[in-house]
Amino acid sequence: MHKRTLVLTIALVIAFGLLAAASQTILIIDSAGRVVEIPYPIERVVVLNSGSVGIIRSLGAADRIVGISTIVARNPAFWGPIAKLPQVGGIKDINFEAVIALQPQLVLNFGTHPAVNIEEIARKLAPAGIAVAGIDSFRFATLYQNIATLGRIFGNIGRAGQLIAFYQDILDLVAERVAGLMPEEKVRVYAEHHAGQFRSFGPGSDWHKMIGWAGGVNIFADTLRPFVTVDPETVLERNPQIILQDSRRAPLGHGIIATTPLTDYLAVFVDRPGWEQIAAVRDERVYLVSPAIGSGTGKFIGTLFFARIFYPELFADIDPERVLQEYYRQFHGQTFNGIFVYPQR
Amino acid sequence: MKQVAAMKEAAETSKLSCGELYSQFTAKKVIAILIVVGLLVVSVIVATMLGAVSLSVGEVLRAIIARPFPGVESTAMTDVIVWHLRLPRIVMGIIAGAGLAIAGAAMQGSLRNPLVSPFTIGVASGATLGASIAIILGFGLIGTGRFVVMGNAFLFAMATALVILGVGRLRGVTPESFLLVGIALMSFFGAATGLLQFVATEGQLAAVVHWTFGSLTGSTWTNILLVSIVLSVCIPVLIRYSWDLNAMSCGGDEVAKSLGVNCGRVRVVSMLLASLIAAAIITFTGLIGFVGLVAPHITRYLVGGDHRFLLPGACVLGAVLLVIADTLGRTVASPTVIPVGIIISIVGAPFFFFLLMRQRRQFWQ
Repeated sequence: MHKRTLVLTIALVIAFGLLAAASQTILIIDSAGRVVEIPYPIERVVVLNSGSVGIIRSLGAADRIVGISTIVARNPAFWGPIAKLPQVGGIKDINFEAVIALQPQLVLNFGTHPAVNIEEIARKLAPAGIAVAGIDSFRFATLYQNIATLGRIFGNIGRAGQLIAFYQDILDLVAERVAGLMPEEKVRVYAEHHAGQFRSFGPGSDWHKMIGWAGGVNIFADTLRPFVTVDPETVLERNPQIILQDSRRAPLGHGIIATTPLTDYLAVFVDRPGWEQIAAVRDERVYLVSPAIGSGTGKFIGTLFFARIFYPELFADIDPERVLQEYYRQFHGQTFNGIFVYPQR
Repeated sequence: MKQVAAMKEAAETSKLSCGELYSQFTAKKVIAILIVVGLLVVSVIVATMLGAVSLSVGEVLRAIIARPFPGVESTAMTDVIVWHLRLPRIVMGIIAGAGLAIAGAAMQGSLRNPLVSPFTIGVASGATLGASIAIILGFGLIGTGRFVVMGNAFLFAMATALVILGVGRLRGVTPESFLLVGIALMSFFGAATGLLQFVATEGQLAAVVHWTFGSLTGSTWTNILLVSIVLSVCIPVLIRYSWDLNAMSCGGDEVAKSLGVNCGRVRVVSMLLASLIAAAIITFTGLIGFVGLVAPHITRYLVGGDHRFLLPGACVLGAVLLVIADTLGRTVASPTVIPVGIIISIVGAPFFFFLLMRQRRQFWQ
């Protein structure tokens, strides 16, 4: 994202915000492209997708959340008191009666997630006078817009601007440092999706972008889809210097301190035919990445972690762990124990 | 029976003895099976040569020979690709295709129903539930680490088969009772898997979906050895039942009984063995469904319904189908791999439809 777009976005947000202050409702365009009229100010909101919950907490509006989904409830180490709020089902199996019982003014869920039909949810809740907006809060391409929109909805545009600036500073820093790399200096990276062996990321996926921004070359940049199952032969042939796993099922993340299960997990992960010949395995440059920095808004700081993994000498003075804790302290009100990349170097 | 009458009639008109005609009749079937065997050999050779990494025929041959004859030079990379990636998935393709096809043929014969396969009577749904329990609840009865999923899939598939057999025995071993129990179990397991997916995290859900797309990518020589042991015990027994299955599928239980066949025992044993074969394969490959249904029908089209030819024929044809499908899956969109389960249905279903449309006689019966 360019600086100019950023400035423009913030300017627009402020202009809209001033307009909003004058009226009782605001109009927003959600991720699904729907124009939604939302009461202003918002006091009671049910939020189903965890990405939006995170941004709302960063905007200092967590106290207005009255209901959550089972996904949020599953990570109490990170969500704290929010995880204890009443649950209204999952992102696609919403208990509408439970939603109505909480008397929210607004329900937020994914707008373009394949499992969620936001239009249908809106139709179900319209008779109860509840507004429904699809705010994705997980795709790079629209995250800044999502943050700005949530800033408008919760009347804290200044804070939204600070959050966007924090993320953009990280990307700018990384871009600046890797800009001088010659093509032959760039590391070859194989990234594996959590679903199973040899499920990888192609162009169009955010992990592909993160690898590129961090100065690496995704060895499967030539595939046709964002998520692809690749031929094990090709991984050997393209001989990655770094291997990353988007580890949704490894014992990683907030509140985790034990490393023994991770050592075991990693040993099983690399135990595949011929992998002992791959440069990344020989040089012990195989990393497990927690969704805390590999999904949603975490991907910005995740990009910094990647850059540090790829080029330790270029980023010798930067400790991504400290940047992450600084981000948590500034935008989530506390720091968190946990292992976010394993092995930690 | 119709065939016998037709042969007699033909014998009278052509002045050949029944014996000579019979020899000609079986010779045709043997030749058909041999042609399919030839096709298998060709497809295995082509599959070994093709892959994401372009290796020359010479390089592949050297890598193959270098193992038994250490004097031959080959690179470590080629050795891994040929011996650990290509050959295991091809060999697994052969035995999985053969096993699922003969399991389907035996089930269809013993239940006298053309729609039956290991997938339609709940064995595969049982395996899926077992795998889902291991992935979502992290709970397994046997095995540790990555083998928990396999162990659970196998146990649940076998438990399904045993329940089907147990209930079948209680309610009388008629084809209908097997089918109905199988369908009931399939719905139950489907619902239980759905319930688990309801509580699963996004990561677990993705892993279950990934498991259900059958794939030969994870094949190793150890897996192959385990499946081969199961197959080498079960297949000969099934083939020994050929005459009994012929009697049951031609004339029904009444006729078979009058010929001295213990229909109940044949049915129970062949269902059990077919389920065991399917369970052993699905455990390592995930769901590869269509081959078990379609390979027996294509074979019936080629060699007729005589189980002495049908069972071995289905084995070879199933192997051919799976090897070709897997080779297509890993070459058409290289380096992306399309799961073999998807390819076999996409290519197999229209082909099957084509055969059904152009058949001149009823080859089921």
